[in-house]
Amino acid sequence: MLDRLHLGPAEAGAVFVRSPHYHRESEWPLIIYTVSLQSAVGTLIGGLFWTRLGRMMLENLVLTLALGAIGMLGAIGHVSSPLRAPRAILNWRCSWLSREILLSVAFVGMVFLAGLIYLLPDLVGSASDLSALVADGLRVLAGLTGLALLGAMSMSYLVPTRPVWNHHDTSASFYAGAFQLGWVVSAALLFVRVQRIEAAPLVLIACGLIVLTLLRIYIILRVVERLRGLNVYRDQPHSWLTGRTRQIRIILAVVGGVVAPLFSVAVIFLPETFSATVTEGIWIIAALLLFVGEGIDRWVFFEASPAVIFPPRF
Amino acid sequence: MQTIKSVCGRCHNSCRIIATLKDGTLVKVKGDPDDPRTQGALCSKGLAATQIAYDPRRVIHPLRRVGPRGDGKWERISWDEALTEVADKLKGYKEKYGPRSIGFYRGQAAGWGFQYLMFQRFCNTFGIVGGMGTSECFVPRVIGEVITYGGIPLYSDYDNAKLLIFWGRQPAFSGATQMRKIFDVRDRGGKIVFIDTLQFHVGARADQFIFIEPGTDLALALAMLTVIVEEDLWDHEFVNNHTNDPGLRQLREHLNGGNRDGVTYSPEWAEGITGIGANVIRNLAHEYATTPGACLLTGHGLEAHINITQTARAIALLRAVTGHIDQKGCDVLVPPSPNYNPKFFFNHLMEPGYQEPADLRLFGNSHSFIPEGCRYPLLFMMQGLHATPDVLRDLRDNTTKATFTQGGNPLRMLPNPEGVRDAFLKAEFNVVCELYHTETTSVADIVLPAASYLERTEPEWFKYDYWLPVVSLRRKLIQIGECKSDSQILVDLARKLGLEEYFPSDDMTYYIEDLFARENFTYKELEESENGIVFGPVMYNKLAQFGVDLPGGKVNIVSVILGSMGFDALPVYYEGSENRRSKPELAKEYPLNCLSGRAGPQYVHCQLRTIPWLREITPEPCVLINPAKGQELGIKSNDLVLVESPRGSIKLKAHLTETINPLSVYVPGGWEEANYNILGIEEDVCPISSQANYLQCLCRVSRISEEGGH
Amino acid sequence: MLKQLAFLFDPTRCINCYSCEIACKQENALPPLVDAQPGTTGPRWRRVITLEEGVYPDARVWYISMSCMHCGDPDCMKSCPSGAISKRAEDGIVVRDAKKCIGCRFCSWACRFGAPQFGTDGHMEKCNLCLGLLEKGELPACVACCTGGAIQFGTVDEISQKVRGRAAMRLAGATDPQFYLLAAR
Repeated sequence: MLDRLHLGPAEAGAVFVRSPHYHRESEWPLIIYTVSLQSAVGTLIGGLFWTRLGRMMLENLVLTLALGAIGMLGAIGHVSSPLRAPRAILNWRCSWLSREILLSVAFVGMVFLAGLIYLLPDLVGSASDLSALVADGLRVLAGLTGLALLGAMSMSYLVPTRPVWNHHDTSASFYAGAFQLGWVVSAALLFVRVQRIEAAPLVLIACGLIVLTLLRIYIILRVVERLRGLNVYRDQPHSWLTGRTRQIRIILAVVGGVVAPLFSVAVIFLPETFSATVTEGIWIIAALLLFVGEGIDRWVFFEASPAVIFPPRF
Repeated sequence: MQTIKSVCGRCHNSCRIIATLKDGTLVKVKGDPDDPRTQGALCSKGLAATQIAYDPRRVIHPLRRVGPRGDGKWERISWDEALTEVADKLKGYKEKYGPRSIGFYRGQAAGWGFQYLMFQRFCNTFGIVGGMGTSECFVPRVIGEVITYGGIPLYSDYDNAKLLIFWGRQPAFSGATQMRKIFDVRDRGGKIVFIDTLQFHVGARADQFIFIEPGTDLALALAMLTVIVEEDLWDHEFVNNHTNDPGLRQLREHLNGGNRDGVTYSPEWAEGITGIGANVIRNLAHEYATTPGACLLTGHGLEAHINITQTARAIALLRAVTGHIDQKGCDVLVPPSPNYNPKFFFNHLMEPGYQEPADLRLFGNSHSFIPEGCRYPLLFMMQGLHATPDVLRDLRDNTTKATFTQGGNPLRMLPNPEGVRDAFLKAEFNVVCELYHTETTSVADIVLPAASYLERTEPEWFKYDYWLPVVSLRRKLIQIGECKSDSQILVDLARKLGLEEYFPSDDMTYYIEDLFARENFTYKELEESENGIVFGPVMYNKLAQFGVDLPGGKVNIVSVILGSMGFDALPVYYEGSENRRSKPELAKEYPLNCLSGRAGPQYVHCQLRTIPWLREITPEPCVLINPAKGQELGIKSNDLVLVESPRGSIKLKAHLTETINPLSVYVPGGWEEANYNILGIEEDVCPISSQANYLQCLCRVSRISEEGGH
Repeated sequence: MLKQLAFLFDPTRCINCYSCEIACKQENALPPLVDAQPGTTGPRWRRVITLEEGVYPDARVWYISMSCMHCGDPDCMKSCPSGAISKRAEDGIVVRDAKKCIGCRFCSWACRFGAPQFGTDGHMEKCNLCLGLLEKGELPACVACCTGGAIQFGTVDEISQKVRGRAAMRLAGATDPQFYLLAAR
């Protein structure tokens, strides 16, 4: 593990004049896959916190499933032979990517199953508390699987040939991004589903988002600092999240994750008729802004990832 | 699947190849492991043969211009129609205006082996003198060598050498297949020294790399001579018995201030000009003189300065005073070429008093008369072609009315491309034999589709380095469209011109047999031989056997020929035409040396830009700049920059590299998009050889935009 | 494994002539993409890279020609999710099964030497030590054409014979790359 984290071009000592291999990675499918699946995990876990508040467990599961399915489509779109995509789980013994795909499938499958079991009494026409319990249990299991999935995803990117990715910053970004997005999505869902929410839980939810967002911004700044001046190849993009892009990214995060929740807290003191619709609106917009921000983050992540090929030292 | 042994013709190194054909289609080419020179190696250009063969951009039918010149509109015509028109026009001009109205021009790609001999036969029988192709390259150096020892040291005896000094020569670009032998010298304990302005490719592998201020090689050579003379390192036996300056009295006096400028050519003096430490110069001279197998391998990097012939002379003197000429392990004079049949050339048609030599050995066939309008007789005597400045003058003052160009693209490759274009436009009738449409075909009236080396059969022995006296057969592998080889075109044209008496057959075999009529092998034997036919032994010390064909019958330390023509009989240092020392005022505005040369090991001059495998490696031209200079000018790699000289400017990307001096930049040559020749100099020429100062000038560089911008 | 095959590279003989790249492209019919996708190259199973150290006039410039290292413990094999990459038992050549590759490109992230390449069909392809030529008793294309004689190859035993008298190094790496280097003098 240590070996993978500490090799870098600085150790090589020489200045690479011409890179032997630089292909742009197929970004969009992978951006969609990582962002969607991460937000799916986050949504599920976030949902575990306050589904009791509004009995929106099913909606939460459906949204998680939707995000997960979009993600899987992205994964399939990324490979050049989509029909062979199921082969990707075969090498789970050795390959982190295999494990990642396996866990993704497991995650989505468990979510689907949880939803099905939850619906089972309605479908079959009998009432049962057992199904809810089993569904809950499956949700927790899916949540744990999701956490493992985020870990596997991180491990796939921690490769010594990509110094931009090869740092625990990456897993921190993935986890923090997942929780932040999940929090805001499940919160938005809550406010849509439950028209009257009390001040205290709303304030708590808002605070939660602000804390997660500050954490996310802190991690972005850490990454930018780490990568400042990293100029691996003279003929490859050498900066990560520069100037305008960085400003937009942080503004989106701040507006969506700090300003919006603060605003939504302020709205509590407006007349009743206003606050429900407005609250909904604020949180949906916040979710969209944060998604776009994370999308930009991930786009730069793939765009500026020079492949460093280690030549022999002698 | 058919495998055929042939000879590559992508450059002049003539490496043997094995071609694989499947149902008549060329599918693979590789080096021949049985070739003792290359041991199976082949350069990137030769390996791309399958793409060269079937390049869809080739011209494959004879074309006649439709509409005004430069419009690029053509109509396809038959060979018969094309050649009839060309023949009628040429006959007409010759009858009305005389032979000087016809200009037959050569470029590199037409080849200097068999195809050139056919060209000589054609010119002699048609009664004209050809031009171009010699001022630019190689022959200016040859003059300096031939007038010193009567022969060309074309080949270095790698197998026995202990010291190789590469001087302005980059084997990675030309003849890369020699490299195994060159490195073997080091494996046997020898040393490789590189004197150059760019420390890349083979230069990066040298044991000692010496950066030299561009265009000052003459100073280095003179200083080395001084060291050798002063420290008594010269070969007394050879100098006293075989040269015209026994005891080196005249040379010593000349080097010690007894010259026209009164300068003593000491290492300290040279240090101020070349930038090379005086001690380095001393040690180099010492090593060269005292190592028994020492070679000076010169290349085109010496050229394109107005002091080229005297530079080659000074280097020839280094060989002469140390006796390192034509000995084992040294630079060896061109050994006996196949014994040409002198009747092949019909020289007597151009020279009524022509005497057939007993054997055409040491120095091939050339004219011994000076044609009308020739201002550079020494150049003409080497290769029998008019100097390029004479050619351009004849075009510009309308003496030449019809041109026929083979294997060259002068409108890109000569300095002052606009001026050259205007010169060609003045001619009334232009014919170009080419593989592609180029700037030169754009001013043509008739374009004839030429064949590449893969599409013609001819004998090949011309290997510009590591010469073994073996003649092989280059075999025709494929036929592309209606393309014909340059030789075939000349034969067919000659027959249309009424020269059937001298060109009785249209089968190339007849001419090959005629050429080798004196040899003891037949064409059939050549055709059947797998590994070629040895036509002579490797010989050293030929000067002793064949004598020195120069005034006095001895090696000319003091050049009687140069002296009699009013040039310096012993080299006096003078500067290139445009640099910081010769034009200090100009250098204030244009502070950098702008150099040019090959664009990489995968290109030849302006050729091969359309070959995809090769183009991938270097898709666009980049000017090489030192990083310290780049930082000073605010330039990073891949930025778009403007390179300006007093004559023009070009835009191209920059590439920073530590392999070049901060005061020099290198613009790779032959690119249409960023043609160095727009910057370079046409009118300043070496007075002896006519070579223009065309690859070095002063410039300034500035950034236009960042990477990716415009 | 009967005999692991490996490349021996002599950087004191490499002059950056690109013969090895072109010979490899010819042997394996690799498509150039310079026309179809300007600014890119097609797959390069062999790549020559330039290293510059130091500053003018004392810069050291080296050229290294690299292809697949046919590692003893290949990262590409471990990383491939569909098990399309395997190492031959008889000679240690790392090969890929074109029918199993899904084109996810994960192997190109795992390989430290840039060996996996991608052509127009999106599946991974890389140096296979010219298996076809080896079977006919010929040398790999890059070895045969190398103008400086820098690229050599053989079994590990043959290579130790060749390096006698010169300091040689095995390229170090966690993946046990089968690439030997003759040291600079």
